[in-house]
Amino acid sequence: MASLDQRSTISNLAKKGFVLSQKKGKDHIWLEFWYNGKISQAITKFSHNYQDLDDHLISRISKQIFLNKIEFLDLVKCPLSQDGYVVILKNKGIL
Amino acid sequence: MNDLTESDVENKIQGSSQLARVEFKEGQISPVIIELFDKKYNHVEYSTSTIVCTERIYELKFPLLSTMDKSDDKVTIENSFLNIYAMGGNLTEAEAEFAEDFDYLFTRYNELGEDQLTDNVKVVKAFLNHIVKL
Repeated sequence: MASLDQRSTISNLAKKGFVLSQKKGKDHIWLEFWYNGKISQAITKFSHNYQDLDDHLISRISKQIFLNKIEFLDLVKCPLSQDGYVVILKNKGIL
Repeated sequence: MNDLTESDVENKIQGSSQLARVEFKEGQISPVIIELFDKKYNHVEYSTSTIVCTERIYELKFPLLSTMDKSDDKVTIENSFLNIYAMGGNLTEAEAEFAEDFDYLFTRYNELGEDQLTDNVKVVKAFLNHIVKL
């Protein structure tokens, strides 16, 4: 069972082009992927309590940003670059 | 189905649900699998015409169809078109998360200009504005 530290996951997603939304929820913060000045459907959220991400949360976040679990782990642990992620989104017709 | 070997059945059952007919023959119980369902069909349709958020209630012009699944100790409600994947320990929690996500997308997409939306997001925004009673 995989487990990820939430703070480092958010930090790594920010390095791959995700931006923290100005719109904040009561319980969650939201990360959005913008491309060429436009918001995409790749949007996900994290709880304010910074709990570790278990398999269920990793699965949910992966789907929200149009990746499978392996691709998501590659994105947050570095092998998958922002450019590589953009290619995946383009191939899936998201961008 | 009866032509399958035991090994074939074992392989097919991986990731599937099964419906079996149990036969009694000469004092032996003999289950015969008469239908297999792939996981991708193992969802329940979830439909709602009202979405209740903390700060707002959305009344919809027609039911929004999604899928619901229960696995392990989690309930998920998914709408792949809207890109909502809500999860909770029970249906009430999953519905609350679905509502939160719906509210975020509706308000966020509407506070941005059309020139700030990808083509996909424009389509979703138009759908949301069409389905929500204002």
